[in-house]
Amino acid sequence: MDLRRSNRTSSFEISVSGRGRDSSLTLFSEESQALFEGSLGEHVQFPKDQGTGQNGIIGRIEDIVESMVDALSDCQPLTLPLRSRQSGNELAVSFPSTTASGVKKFTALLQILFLCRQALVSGTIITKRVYFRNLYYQNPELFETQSYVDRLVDDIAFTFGVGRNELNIVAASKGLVAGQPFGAEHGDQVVVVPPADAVADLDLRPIEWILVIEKEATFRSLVSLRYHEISVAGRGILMTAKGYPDLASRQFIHRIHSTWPQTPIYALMDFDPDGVAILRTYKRGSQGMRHEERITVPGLLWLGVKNSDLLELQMRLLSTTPSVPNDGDRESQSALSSSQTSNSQSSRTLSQSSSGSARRSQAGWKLLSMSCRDRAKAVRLLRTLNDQHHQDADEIELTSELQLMLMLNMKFEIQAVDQVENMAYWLDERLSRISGWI
Amino acid sequence: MSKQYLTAHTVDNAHIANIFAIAATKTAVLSASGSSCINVHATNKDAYPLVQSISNAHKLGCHHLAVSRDGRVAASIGFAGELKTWKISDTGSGDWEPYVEVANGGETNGEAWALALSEDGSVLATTTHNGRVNVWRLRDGSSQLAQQFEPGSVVTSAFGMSIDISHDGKYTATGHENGAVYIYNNETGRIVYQLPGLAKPVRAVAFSPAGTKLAAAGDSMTIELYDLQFGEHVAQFTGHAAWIMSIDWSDTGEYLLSGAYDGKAKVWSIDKQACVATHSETEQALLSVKWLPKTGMNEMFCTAGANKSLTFYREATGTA
Repeated sequence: MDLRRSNRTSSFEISVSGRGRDSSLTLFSEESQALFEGSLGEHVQFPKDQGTGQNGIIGRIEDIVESMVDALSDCQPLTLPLRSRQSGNELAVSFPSTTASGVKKFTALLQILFLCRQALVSGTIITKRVYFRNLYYQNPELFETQSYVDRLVDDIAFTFGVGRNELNIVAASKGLVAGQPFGAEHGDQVVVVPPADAVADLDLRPIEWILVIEKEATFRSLVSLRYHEISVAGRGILMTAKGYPDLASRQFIHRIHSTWPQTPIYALMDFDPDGVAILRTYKRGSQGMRHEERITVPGLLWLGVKNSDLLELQMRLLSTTPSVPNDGDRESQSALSSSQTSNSQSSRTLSQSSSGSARRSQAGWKLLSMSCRDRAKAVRLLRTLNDQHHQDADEIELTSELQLMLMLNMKFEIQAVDQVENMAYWLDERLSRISGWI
Repeated sequence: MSKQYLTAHTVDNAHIANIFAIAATKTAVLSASGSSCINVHATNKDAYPLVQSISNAHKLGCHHLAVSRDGRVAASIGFAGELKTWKISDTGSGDWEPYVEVANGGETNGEAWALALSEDGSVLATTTHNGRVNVWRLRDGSSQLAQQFEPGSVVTSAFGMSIDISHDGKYTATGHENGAVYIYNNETGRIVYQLPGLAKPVRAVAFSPAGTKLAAAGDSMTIELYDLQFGEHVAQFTGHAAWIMSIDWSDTGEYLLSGAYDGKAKVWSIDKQACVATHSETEQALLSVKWLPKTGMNEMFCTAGANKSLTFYREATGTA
């Protein structure tokens, strides 16, 4: 049986040589096939998993193809079952479709399924990027962005009720990590977050703490200070997923936590609704990824930045700012004494800074007001937290922080800490306070 | 010269979350917090007992609350953006019950943030996120949007963080995130004064009881005093070391009470233009401070905030 379909936006061939379990499906021309196999070669071959799970998925993909072959012979439209990750409802993606985007989606899904099966049958694990590259080279117009492909891959995983890894597709992590167990011998301190499976081979015994940082910039500046080596809290690991964490970063940190549960993992996030949402993504997972397992770290401890830090930083800022003569100030005595104690506390950070630089830092330390989007996001988060049947202490704290954020109509970024005082000093103090050394 | 205030009583954990707003009548203090209920504590009974808890008043918590000076009407705004009004029950029980519905939100009205009620509770004014003022007329059974003020071309869309209505009901003052302070004539809807601002968010504005002065305070950590006859800046009170979250005039207009984010409450003499008392029961933020309407010999005030408690202060007899 041979079939050729084409329309305005896409064209592809399906040739079916047989029926049943052994049926083979060819979606691509021969040279593109070669391209695909070539790119597979770049990747590590993992031992072939003969578990029923993967065979089950291969079977399901083949079942879908079979049903399409049946549909073709009956001159019926082709359909791919797909479950919405938002609603959980099944919606069929059909070909032919009335819309160009429908055709695009069908074609993309079919090609992704094909690649999945190929990877599963050969026991090869491929990264999302290679995946995308393959699809992109096939048809640049169809697969404009990686996120489009990523979404479909997650949809397929969700439809099958499995994790993305079980499709043999792994995300090349965007996360970065630094610390003694990672590439210390290379001299290069920062490495890409390794696959979760690699955690088993790590020795984390000398590690006292792990810090998950929202922003790459903060991560980089702490790495350049070698904070993971010089911290008063002992040796540590610094990690960032550059904003909202990708699956691989979450799997990694989950695996670390389950392998070394006694090592505390702290989170350093912005004081804004995104910071809170990112923290919750690490701790509780995300709505769109609820079909994935082993990706959360409920024990993640929120180090900051919080509303209480806001006040402390402000006070410190005041105490380092050259005082302005105040006529009606009856409290100048106490203000003076508090500024003295504060100065001695922060002598380490401010030893090299003159009053001039303190002034500069004040100018640089800007509290930002919340945008409409921030406020809407904060209210959405409050609603999500409120819908929880039983709020634990963490959730009560998050609720309180979000409400104060809205009340103050203020947010501020981790970098603000560095503008007021040295981030390392601030972290030392925080980590010591938590571990009860002060 | 200073005044002495003593802690009369503290209602610990009056709420399970931060208390964002309190409002006082002659007999009670109403409080709103990050939890869903509005609580009413009697101030005319020993130990300030909880006499009513309006459960599920605001599902996501409540950030602003006001009560009319006659103590009969209250209004509150929740974090979900809902605006609710309350009145003393006609049954004579003294309990608060839901009053008229007010249509809040939407493109035209904007989302309400801060609010104020006129003396008899017939007028409700709210600020919005986009810097406007909505004035509602509350009657039995209905509410009506009577006026909408806009700062006009001068400064648009600066978040309206604070609001007050003058005791005679003639003027409305608003304080904005960009430091601007406006006074509107409620009859004409025109701006009477655009006062020299504070350059930083104005978290509290308050008319003096006689309506001759306006106090404004906020992140500048100062209280600015304006004379309303000519719209002049007449005084600046310095001494707070953190953002001022709330201010309130005493009944006589002699004193101003202020509460700051570092937990310090201060009483200022208008005559002396100086701080006459400083209190800090807590290092946690004060979010709302209010004088209690004078019923006895001594002046009293109440403070609340991030320590979730209501603290009542009484003036010590015989000033030092």
